[in-house]
Amino acid sequence: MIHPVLLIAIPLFLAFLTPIVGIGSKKYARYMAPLAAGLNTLVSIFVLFETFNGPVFDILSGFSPPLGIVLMVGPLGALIALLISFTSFVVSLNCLKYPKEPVVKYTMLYILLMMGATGMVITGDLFNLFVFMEITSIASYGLASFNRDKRGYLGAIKYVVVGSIGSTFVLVGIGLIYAQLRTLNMLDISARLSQMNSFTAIVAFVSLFVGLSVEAEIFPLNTWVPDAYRGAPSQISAVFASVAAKAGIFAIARIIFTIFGYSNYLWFVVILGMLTVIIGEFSAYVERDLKKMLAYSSIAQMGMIVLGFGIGTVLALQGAFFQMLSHAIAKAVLFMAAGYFVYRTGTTKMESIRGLGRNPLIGIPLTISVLSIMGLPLFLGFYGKFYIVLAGIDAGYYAIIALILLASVVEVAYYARFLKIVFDKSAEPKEVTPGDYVPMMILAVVLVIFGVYPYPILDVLSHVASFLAGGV
Amino acid sequence: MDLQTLFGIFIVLPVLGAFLSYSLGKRASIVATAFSAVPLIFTYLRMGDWSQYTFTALGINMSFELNPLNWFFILMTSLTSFSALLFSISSVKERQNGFASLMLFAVAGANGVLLARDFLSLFVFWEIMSWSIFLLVMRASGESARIYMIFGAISAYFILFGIGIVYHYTGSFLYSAVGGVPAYAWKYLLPIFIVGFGVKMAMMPLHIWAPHAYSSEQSFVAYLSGGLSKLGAYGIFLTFYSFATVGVLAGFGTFRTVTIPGYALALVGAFTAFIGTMLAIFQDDLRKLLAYSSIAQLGYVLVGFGLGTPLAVGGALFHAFNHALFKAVLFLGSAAVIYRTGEYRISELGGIAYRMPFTFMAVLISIFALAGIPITSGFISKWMIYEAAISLKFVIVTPLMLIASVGAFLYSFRILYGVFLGQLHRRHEHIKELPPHMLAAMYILIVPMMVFAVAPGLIFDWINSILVYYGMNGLTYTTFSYQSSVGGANMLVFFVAFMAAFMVAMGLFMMKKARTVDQYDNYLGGEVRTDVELHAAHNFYKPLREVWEPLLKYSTERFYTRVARFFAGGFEEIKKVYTGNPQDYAAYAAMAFIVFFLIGWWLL
Amino acid sequence: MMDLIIDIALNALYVLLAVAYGLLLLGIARKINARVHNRVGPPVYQNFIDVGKLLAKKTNIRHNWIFDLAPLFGLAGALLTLLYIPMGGYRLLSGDGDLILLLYIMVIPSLGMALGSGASANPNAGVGVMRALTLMLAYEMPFLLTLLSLMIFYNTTSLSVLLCKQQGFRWAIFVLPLSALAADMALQGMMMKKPFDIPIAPHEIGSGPMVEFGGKYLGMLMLFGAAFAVVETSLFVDLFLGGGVILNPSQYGIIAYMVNYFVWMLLVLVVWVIAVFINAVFPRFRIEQAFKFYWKWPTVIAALGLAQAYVMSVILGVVP
Repeated sequence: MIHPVLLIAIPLFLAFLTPIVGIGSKKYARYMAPLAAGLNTLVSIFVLFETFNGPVFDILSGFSPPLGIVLMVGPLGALIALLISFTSFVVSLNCLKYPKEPVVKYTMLYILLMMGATGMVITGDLFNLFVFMEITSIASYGLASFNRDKRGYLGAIKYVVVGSIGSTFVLVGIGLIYAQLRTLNMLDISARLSQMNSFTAIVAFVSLFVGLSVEAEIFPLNTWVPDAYRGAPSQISAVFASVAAKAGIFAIARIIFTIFGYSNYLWFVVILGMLTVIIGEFSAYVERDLKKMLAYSSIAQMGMIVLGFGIGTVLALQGAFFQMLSHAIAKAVLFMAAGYFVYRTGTTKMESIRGLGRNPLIGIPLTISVLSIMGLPLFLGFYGKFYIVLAGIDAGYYAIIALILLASVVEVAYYARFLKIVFDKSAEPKEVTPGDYVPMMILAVVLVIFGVYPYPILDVLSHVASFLAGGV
Repeated sequence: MDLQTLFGIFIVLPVLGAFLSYSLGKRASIVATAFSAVPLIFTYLRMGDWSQYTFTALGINMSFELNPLNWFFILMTSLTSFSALLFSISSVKERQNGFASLMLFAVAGANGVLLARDFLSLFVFWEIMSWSIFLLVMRASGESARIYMIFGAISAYFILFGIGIVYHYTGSFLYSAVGGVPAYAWKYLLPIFIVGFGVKMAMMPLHIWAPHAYSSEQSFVAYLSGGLSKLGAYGIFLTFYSFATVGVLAGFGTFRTVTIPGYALALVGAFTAFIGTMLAIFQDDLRKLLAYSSIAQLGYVLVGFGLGTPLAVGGALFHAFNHALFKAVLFLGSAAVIYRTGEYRISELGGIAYRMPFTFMAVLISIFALAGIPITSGFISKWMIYEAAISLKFVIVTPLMLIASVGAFLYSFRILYGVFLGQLHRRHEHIKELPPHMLAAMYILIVPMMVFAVAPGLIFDWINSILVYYGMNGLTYTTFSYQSSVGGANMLVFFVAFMAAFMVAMGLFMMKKARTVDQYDNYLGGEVRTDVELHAAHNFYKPLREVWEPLLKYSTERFYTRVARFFAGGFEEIKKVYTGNPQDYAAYAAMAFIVFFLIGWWLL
Repeated sequence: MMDLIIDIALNALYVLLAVAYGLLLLGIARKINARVHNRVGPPVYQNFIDVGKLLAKKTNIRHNWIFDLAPLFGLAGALLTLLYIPMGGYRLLSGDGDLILLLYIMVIPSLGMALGSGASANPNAGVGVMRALTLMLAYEMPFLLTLLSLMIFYNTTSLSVLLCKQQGFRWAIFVLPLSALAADMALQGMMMKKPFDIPIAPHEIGSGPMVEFGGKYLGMLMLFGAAFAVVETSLFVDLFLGGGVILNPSQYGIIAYMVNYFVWMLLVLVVWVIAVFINAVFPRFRIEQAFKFYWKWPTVIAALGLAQAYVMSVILGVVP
């Protein structure tokens, strides 16, 4: 049996090994990030197979729960952990081509960000969740400003402001729960929720919800997203969209379903999801900056996931998880492509990237991920959108789904415009290096494989029903 | 035949072909042609081998079926795809592998849409077809592709919404379960499906993607207009006569035996035919002219489906078939002209027929079919729809259709004269006739048009089996003649008489010899100006245009652009939520907490 | 076998007679025109002489094979149309095709002519055909509405049935006078008589589509013109004047055929002469004026006629 704790221990160890390696050779320090992420990927595959027999609990520091700290991995958590480590791995390959100085710190923060996000997903303890969230956030703050320019600092400071408010809310929520129940174990809280003063429970729930919404990019706490994504190096934006945000949204799902099980609150979550989608898509449509457009689009995609959780049926949750997978992978490709465009032109203005995708090595993965985000079949993105829309109509949210579809038309409009610009005939195809296209190709192939043959994912998602019922 | 064969031949094979031809580079279209020929031959041989299969995928019951209706549509789409790919062997010069493989993806999508007997596969294959078209259009112009894709998305989302409603009521995706949808839900479902499928058919207010998309590579457009636009017609037929059934439609009330939804559809169709024709008359871009003509011709199909009598529905199916053939040939003809001259503006061409006589003959025959000259089968299908409308005594639908068909003569002649006749420009004097395989691609489609003109009974057999399959009465026909309740015609008599009259004229004509002169030797009122090009094709219908000017200033496209601009303005306002000021963001967080909390307090 | 030969011979005879009669009508028109203009004018048989002369002469201008389609399609189409239109109650092939088919057959010769003249590369021809087509769009609007009113009122598209139902002087012109008026106005344009001779305007565009044709080409096109003079007038006679059928052939046999044929000739002459007189006294419209005219007054009249037919047939349930 592989212990899930390895998912935290390996990157932590490698992260702190990085400076030591860095003393010897800066060159080798760079390879620590792919190494950590690759090992994590392997471990999470094993963990995923283990969880098929039932949730895996990994007890730390000798005390048995509810007193001790525990890691708690269900199949869904393992899936998201796998997603996080896999996309981090692929994006870190891309990072190798674009080293940021100082390399050692960059690599360390990168590994820590991945580790924190993984920890948020697999922890079974509320306070641990907070700790991992802080690790993720602080690593993110650092990475967001890594370009060392005005935009980077401005983006990061906004992230810091909103993020620390969010952390405070999370801490308040945890404090309230601990004050009343004297426990921090998620399952324990869930079981003893009735002992709580209902008013305090609501305050605690809302605090946690608001706090985690920052990371999960739910309106109106996603305000930091466009600036931070714009200012950060493109690979880091990719990690924000596909790693940090996924950890946040999964944490929210666990707050809602595993801990509190407030089904009454769900329709408000649907409204929030809808607002997030609509505002994200509409803003992206009028945005003229490539990376900001992708950021707004990322907000909208997260809104779809929130919507799926809000609808709260098995079909909708399956859709939400599909959407998480497809969005993480496709958006990573797009941000990596954006990184390539920035490298080529030095700017992120839409007009300046004319014809840069005409080389098929870039163009094909780019097209595949755009089609996937549009929700077209044969690509992974199809299932997310299809399931969520279907579940929404089935649950009777006609007007909301109609609005979502309208927003999707807007999405199609601006992504088609993006492709139009990228494939503009006025420019000749430029050559690309493997460092650019190999990571994109890997992710695009994954999008296609699971788009055509989604059964492995569906097998994992068959556990959604127990998750919905308050399981792990 | 079993499910594997059906699935393998119609879907897996084209997809395999797509991957294979992508890897082949310059020979891609040859391979793709071979791959598209297999389903075509297979379809033709499997006439009458009706069968249905149910299976489970993604945990959902799905079903595929080969029945007279989708057999008929597969035949016409594979015919056009085959001929388009055959033509593209030479005509597509740039990145042919991408072209061929996307075409085959579109073929697979179209076949899947047609074979599907459940909504999930319908939607999946519909979208596959949609994105392949999107990428194919993007090869020529990103903006056209964008406009296409926006409408494609509108279409898909309407269909998806409809599917969601059906799923809500029945819990199943199978077509056979649609009966479980309560009658009141059809009030919403019917318009949703009609808009969804109507977009693909370029139904009138939703048509503006067509002129853009149809301006891309013409050999692909031959398939898009000839084959793929028929899927919209197929969807509307299914919606009306398979999903909703006449009973539900009649539940909305009837107007002289025609159901109200049917009557509305017929009206939309008639206006589509009329307006499409009028717009086609004024196009100087050959591709756009054909695009508007496509819009108009599919309007007739809508009318036929709307009227719903066996004659009308049969006529609509027949017209869809004819349109697939003749419009494919016309677009291929346009591709041929562009291939040889690089020019698509009608006023810049002229006299091509003297250099490319076989291309001209193919185009001429298709134009006969388009205009409904009885020498080709195009007449018969139009006749059926007219007679159906006349026998129902519809006084709005019928004149609109009739006058639209007169308008068709106008734009047909604009093509004939502007492109093929008149004066040959000096810069086009050295162009050559097409290579044989390209001509073959066109004449393959001409053959059925001529055969069904003499012996319409052959195709009526197929159409009749469709009508009977969907529980309608059959048509009245023999091999050579056909009747409606108010009239009828015998094509064999017509052809014999025509031949006889032609022989008489020929005899008279052959009696005397004539001296052949060149094109510059003609009467110009005494003035001899050989230095001026005298091809009178620029702004051909200028007087008519001047008459219509006050109406032409209204444009659906401009309306949409204005709406889009209005919305974009609104989006700008919404985007201002992101002020860029951290203090505001902190305030948002605080307000969010309060609102979330109040709602939580109220709810929990 | 014998029947078939007799049938073919009879058909040929009727067609021949019709063409001859058409040439005569053209001659009459020239004479009337001249007299109205206070000239002497050519003899009425002048057109026979012209056709004979043109067919006998050597032809000096031929452009290409598409150019040849004009006389071939023109004459063949005209003969075909004559076969399909009832003349004096004699039905020829009209049992095997209805009004819609006839309408489309009537297009064949014009289309052939348009092709041939287009192939001549003469800009006048192109302009002429453009005008002809625009004029066609113009006059077809009222004409199709009147046709529709007839088809709705008599609930048939078959010309033979139409003739049967009008027997005994129950002519459509009495029942649907507005439609008949509109149809006659449309007829003027269909026959390209003034004020609607815009497509062939000899002084502006050198006879338009006809500009390049000479010799046998022109001769054959004159035959086509003659045949179409009969077709167009006869169409009006068949639609509104009972086709000249005043005696029932099943009662009176061969005499009925002869009387009917004579009456038909008379009615055709009347319709023709009316058109010729209008032609003689009017100047020429411009094409956009013609278009506006046709889509205005005749269309309104035809629409009223259609409304009348609709009310009578659908609402009042009159069965003629």
